[in-house]
Amino acid sequence: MNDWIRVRITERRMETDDVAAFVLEPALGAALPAYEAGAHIDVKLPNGLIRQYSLCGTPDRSGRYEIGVLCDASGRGGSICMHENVRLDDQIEISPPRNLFPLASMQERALLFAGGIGVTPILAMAQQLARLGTNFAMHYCARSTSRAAFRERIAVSPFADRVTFHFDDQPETVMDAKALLASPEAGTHLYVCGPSGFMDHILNTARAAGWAESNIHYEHFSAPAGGANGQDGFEIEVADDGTIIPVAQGQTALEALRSAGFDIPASCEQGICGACITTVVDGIPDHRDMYLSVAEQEANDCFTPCCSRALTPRLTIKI
Amino acid sequence: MAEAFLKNAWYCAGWRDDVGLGQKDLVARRIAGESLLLYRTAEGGLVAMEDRCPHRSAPLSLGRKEGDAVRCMYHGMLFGPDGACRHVPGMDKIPPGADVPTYAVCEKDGWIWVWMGDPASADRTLICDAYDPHDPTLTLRTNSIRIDTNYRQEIANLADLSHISWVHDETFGGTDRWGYIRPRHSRNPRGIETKYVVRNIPAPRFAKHLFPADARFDIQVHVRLSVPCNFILNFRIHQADGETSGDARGKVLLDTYTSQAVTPRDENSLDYYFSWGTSKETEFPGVVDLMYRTNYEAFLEDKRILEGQRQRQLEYPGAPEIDIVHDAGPAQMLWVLDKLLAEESGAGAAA
Repeated sequence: MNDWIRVRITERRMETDDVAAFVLEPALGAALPAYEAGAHIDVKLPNGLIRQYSLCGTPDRSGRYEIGVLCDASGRGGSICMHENVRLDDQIEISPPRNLFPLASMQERALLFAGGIGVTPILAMAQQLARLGTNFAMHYCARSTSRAAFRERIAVSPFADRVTFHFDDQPETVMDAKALLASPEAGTHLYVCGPSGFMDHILNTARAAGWAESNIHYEHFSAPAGGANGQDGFEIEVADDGTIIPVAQGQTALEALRSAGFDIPASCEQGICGACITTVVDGIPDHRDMYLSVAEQEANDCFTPCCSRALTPRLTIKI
Repeated sequence: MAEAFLKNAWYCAGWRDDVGLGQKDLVARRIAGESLLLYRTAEGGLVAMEDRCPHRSAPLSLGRKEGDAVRCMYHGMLFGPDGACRHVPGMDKIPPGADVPTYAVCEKDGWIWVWMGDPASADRTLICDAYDPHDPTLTLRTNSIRIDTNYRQEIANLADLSHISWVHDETFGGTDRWGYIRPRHSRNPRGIETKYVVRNIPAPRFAKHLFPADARFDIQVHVRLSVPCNFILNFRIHQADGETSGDARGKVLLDTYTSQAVTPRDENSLDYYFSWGTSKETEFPGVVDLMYRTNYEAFLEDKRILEGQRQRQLEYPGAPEIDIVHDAGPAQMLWVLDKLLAEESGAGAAA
């Protein structure tokens, strides 16, 4: 399980009407672990839920973390709780950062696409790339100027000239993804985060234009509609055996399997090494790993129980 | 914490020719932290016993063969193939406890195998199936090497062949494609089995001069790995068929077979017995000799990197090591080993 870190909210401000930014600093003095752009943390909310939020601050300021939270009234209570119940000077617990959306180690150029609150990891990336001196361009889509979180921070940043805003209510700013993605190059990497419709649009356009899968990087900040997401619980049924194992909120499938007496190999437990790959015979996994290719994930015939979850209430697996 | 070595497993003690019938053929082996003496009786049967006289611990391998018995050449005590003391010069009676522990030993597929657990529980069905150098359909040449590392590192080396591109750049490699394979492994109670194809690659460095520069090949790989660390591989070289998935279907140019048994001596060194060669059907003059020399050269490449790695691991005890995409095989094979170790230590399922 996570080694939870107790942090204090040292700054809380409204970025837009519905996005609150929180700055977290260690409650006990010890420095927070360093992280790279794209990393996220788990946050234990006062109401018991656990939610993931991308770190959006400049990655080298290890003294503090910053997250941006969109209040989603139709959500399942995580963001509302953050907005209503987490105040300045409050203490909460967070996990150490994990990065499932890292920048490629070598690239000549990066193209960043952010949709809505998906800007949080993308902003961290822009800051890191600017510091590294890597050539990049960022496209930030939002409903309107007033709904674009971190717009002011971007405007005063040293990379302001690399960021193009696209606002739904300003037709002259409309984004032409096809033109922007028309010429894939081996040294150019694409990073996308935003709502699923936005992501599908960018990713499909890129694939149609011939982008290599290895140059495409993305992170869903919310699971596809209708499915379980976040850290919600689900069930695992062991085929041939019939045992049904509940996977609790905040628990990994691997942990649940182990506590039920089913041991399977695992090593990194972050979805990197593929040691725990397990056959899925029924149900749809919510793939969170970096091991399987897109085609392998879409086949939905296996998953990595160390980090992946389920989009259906139950997954039937073979051990 | 479980023990470092399995007891209830067969360990390779060498090629069958390593233990001959000669007067001097008292072969000393260090296996899984124990010292063994191996010899053949006059009838050719194999004997494996602790290489330690129960009197003052002199190595029996420094002794003398007498019929089916061995005499310790320190004070002359004589031991039968069952380990029982037959005679102590100067004494009429044998002192109690003057027996040498023996091991179950047998031959299979050209190798000598020793069971390190209770001889009564030795189960011959657990010996891995290997390619026999005496198989009339194959031409294989055998060799051995010692490597100063822990056998877990050797398991990790053999369960992930992506290192061919880097460690063996000058021999088996010559392309980075091995660094992009991402095979699925299937587990069994004592190991893993892996099949995949590395596609459309140039000839390996050691054979590059034999083919046109633009010749491309598909390599069909089939590996069976079993505890403690036996690596049985069919490595079939096909003409590239231009496909991107499925088995290689191009013409078979060379069908090669290798059996490799890694026997831990102790926690810091191992003996490595290996063969490589071709089917008689695809053999052509000189090729097996070339493979023999290349294989030895390549294993010296492994030795260099593994011993360097071991050195660093001992210098940085407990230093974290990160995983990458190629660690599925190593992690799964070590998991199988650890599970069996945990079962032996009575801890139940692997922790």
